[in-house]
Amino acid sequence: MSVTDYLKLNEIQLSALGEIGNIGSGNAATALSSMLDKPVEIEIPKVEILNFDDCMNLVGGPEEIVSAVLVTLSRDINGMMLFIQQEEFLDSMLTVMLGSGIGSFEEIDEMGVSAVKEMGNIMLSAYVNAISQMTGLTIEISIPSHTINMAGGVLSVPAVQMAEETDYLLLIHGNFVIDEKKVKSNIFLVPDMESLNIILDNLGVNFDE
Amino acid sequence: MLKVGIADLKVARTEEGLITYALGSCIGICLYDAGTRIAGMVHIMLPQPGGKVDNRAKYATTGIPELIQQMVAAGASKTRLTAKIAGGAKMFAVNGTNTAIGEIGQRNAAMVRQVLKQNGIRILGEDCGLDYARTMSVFRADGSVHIKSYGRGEKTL
Repeated sequence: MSVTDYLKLNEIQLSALGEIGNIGSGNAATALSSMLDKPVEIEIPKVEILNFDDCMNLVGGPEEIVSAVLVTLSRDINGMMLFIQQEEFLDSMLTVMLGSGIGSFEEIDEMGVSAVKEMGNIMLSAYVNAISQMTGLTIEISIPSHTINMAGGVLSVPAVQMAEETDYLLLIHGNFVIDEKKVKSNIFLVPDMESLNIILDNLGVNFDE
Repeated sequence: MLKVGIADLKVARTEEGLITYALGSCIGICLYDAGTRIAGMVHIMLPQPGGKVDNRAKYATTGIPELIQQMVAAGASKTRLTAKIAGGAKMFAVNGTNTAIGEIGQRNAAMVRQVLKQNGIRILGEDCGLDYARTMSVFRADGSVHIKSYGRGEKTL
């Protein structure tokens, strides 16, 4: 394993990971766009290496209430993906998918939860398929889980999972914007350290220093 | 209020109190000495270390003793310390093979209770488990602990 510390990733490696985010997000945006029959823009994905406290602040602060779909990755790589939606995004999305939106998070019903899980499943699968094609790796995603809760609690899930090996998370992070409304959602890809090395190996950018 | 981060611990001697945000499966442990009105808080992520420990506040088995030691060094009496704890939730109902993710909160809570017991510290209040995040504050004046969570109002321990 060449990379044992996220802070030692070089420019070439970071830009290769950015490219994964770019292609993954692009695929997920296409999937979202065809589901909603609306144009979806993506902001240029970022590769961020953050300590746990900074992670908690990524989506509007630790107490910001968000809707989140979580899947875990298995087979050739291990890690997690989170698809996080703000209230307005979920409202627009469910309006298109189910014909009626939610005024606020409190009003979501079982059908709404199923719809958001299904959307998460489709987008995250599209994202992962792009990584598989780029790297030749077989990646399986789990059945999606969903919650509506504080962003800090949601983002602590990958942090706790990685806490044994690192005090930092490497997050490949993309924003989606639908409509002119500028309503946002985010996808986070969080590989563990070993998987990061497997990805870098397969992209041909894992050099020993 | 002094802010306690994730895998962090602090002792308050003069401040109003301490606060930690959005505990998911992590646990916030507040220790309080009613005699000196010294309060301490640690925000642990895992029950115990697997290998070397670079941050004692990350684990229940190292973070709680470290907090006790720092509070005693600040003038608190170990025998007077009492505890209030919150967190240990299961943020996502995880299906299939990755049940370890779902059980970490429960394992954290069990270890926290065990370590407090080993140190002879009584738990006066707790709000643990279920499926939601909690923000926890402790007030130095009376040792009261406030819990804020989404859709469940506030509660005082």
